[in-house]
Amino acid sequence: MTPLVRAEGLRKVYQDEGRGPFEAVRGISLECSPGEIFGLLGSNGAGKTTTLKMLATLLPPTAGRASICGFDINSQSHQVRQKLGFYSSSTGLYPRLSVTETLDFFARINGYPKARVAARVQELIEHFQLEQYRHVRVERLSSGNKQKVSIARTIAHDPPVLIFDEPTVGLDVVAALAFQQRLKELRTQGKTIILSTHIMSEAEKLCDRIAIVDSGQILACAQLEELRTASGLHYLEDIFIHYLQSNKAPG
Amino acid sequence: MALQTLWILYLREMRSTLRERNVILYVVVVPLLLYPFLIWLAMSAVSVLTAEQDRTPLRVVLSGKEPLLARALEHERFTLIESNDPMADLNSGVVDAWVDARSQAQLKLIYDGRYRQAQQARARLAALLEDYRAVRLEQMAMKSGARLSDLQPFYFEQQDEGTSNDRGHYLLGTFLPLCLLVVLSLGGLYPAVETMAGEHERETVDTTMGLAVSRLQIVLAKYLLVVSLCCISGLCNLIAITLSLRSILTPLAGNAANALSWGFTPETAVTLALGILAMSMLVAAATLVCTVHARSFRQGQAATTPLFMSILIPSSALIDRSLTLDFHTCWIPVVNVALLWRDSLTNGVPAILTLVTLACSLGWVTLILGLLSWRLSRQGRALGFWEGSRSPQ
Repeated sequence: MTPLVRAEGLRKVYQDEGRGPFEAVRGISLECSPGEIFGLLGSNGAGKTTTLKMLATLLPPTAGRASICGFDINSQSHQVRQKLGFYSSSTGLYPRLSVTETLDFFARINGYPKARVAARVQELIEHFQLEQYRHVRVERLSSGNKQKVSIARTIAHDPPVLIFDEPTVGLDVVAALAFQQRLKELRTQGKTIILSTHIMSEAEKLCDRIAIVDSGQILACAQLEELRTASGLHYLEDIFIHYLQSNKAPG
Repeated sequence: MALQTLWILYLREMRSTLRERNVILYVVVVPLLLYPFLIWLAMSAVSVLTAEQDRTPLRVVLSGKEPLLARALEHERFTLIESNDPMADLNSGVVDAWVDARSQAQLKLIYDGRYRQAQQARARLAALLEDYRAVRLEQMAMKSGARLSDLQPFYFEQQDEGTSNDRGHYLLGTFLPLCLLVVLSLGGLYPAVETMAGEHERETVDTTMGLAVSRLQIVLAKYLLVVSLCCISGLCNLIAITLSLRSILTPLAGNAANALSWGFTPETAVTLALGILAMSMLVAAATLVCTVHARSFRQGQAATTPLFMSILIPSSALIDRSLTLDFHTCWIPVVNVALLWRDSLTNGVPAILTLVTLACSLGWVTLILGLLSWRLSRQGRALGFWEGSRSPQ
């Protein structure tokens, strides 16, 4: 199947006034196909969020190239955004809009066909069981319902590619499990999903392929079974530590 | 498509902003109620003070046999005091004025200007004695068979050429520009802080910057939002003051208020509205420049306070009536529109000068928006990392 997400040698250098140039991402390359959940597994500061923000056209890469559904992230960012749903802890909802207004806004602004917006909003409200909250402002919803609205707004314009940056951080167990269930449903619908996480169990359960990221580089990228075979270890936690230590070993 | 996208963004901004109670307070409630209330308060205070002064019994010594004058003084609520040494009593403040009418040819008003009551007595007595002198002259003329003009060959005559409409517009021209400046500033500052710093405060910056729209459209939607809210507050204030001045003044000033009228000609109404639009565009551009780097409401408010002052300080030019809108003053931002409002209400402004003033204001708006664009291009984090961001390499 043709990969919808391609990245080749992505680099990102931040100019920090105190520290000087800081290379957050050092040549990351990856590919992701429809119906696949691709996991980016790494500790804090590994470069996951920067990589995802570059793919989402929120950050311009210093070097390298990437495309979403064939559209270049540098020169065709408008088309990229229409094909992409980006969810992260920093993409908050507009608190004073109601659930319906929120979904309607995101569908329209991201280019969903105007004539079908109302039906799409209704479909999402029913799917996420938000009927009784449709006219309630987002700021008055519970955390669980807010999270449902966040996912619904990410997929409101029915994008083929979805990026989730540490989506379950701060969620309780029940809400996290519900989220994982929704992610599986989206995979079944044929969406191309990139999931960034540092929760090993989540990556183990959800991801078809896992890329272990450290210091802005991908140390290993394969299916879980292949990683087990290559490292000779069973648990993902051990595999992760194994690659991190190999990366830090002298020479 | 670009306009449609802009409209969707604008509607979202408007919905979010109008659901904030403080915005409603500053944009609608304050312009509608506060300034009419403040004017009512000021006029009430003036009215109470004047009435209090009128009620204060002023003590006057009248020397000389002038029964007509004595009756007139009593009628005007002066208290006549007997005094053996009026000068000493004046100096000690026991009496407020001494009317020396002992000479047939002369009336003399003596007072001690150190005392506030003595000054009040002088002001009220001067008018009364002027009238009394006119009556005496007339009596003398009739007694001697002479004509009044023989006794008083040089007349002083007063005539008020101002119409009630002129007086009403003069009063409106005094209040309205200052009120509009305050209201437009307040109406622009809070929404600007809300829409710029509020994005950071509510962590919706990445959400907004991740939309399939350009940075220009996002900034333009925010700019149009602030312009709209400024205009709404300006129009609310204009309507409130125009409607309320008569009803405020009537109970306080009695017949004097009925002598005032402030109907607008269509030209004046158009000039006022265009001035509100131009000033709103200027205020909105300036507030966005000030709030573009604010990460919290507190930072935003701190950044806009100097701007608020710099808008209000030039309004002191309105006090100087010799300063009018001309081809020199029309270049000065804020002052030009304030003078346009004032002069269009009082004397009228030629259409060409109105157009030049509005063009100058638009020039300033363009300049400030250019500055905003430059600041955004210099710091990518200001509104996110969309096209044109060059800060992170």
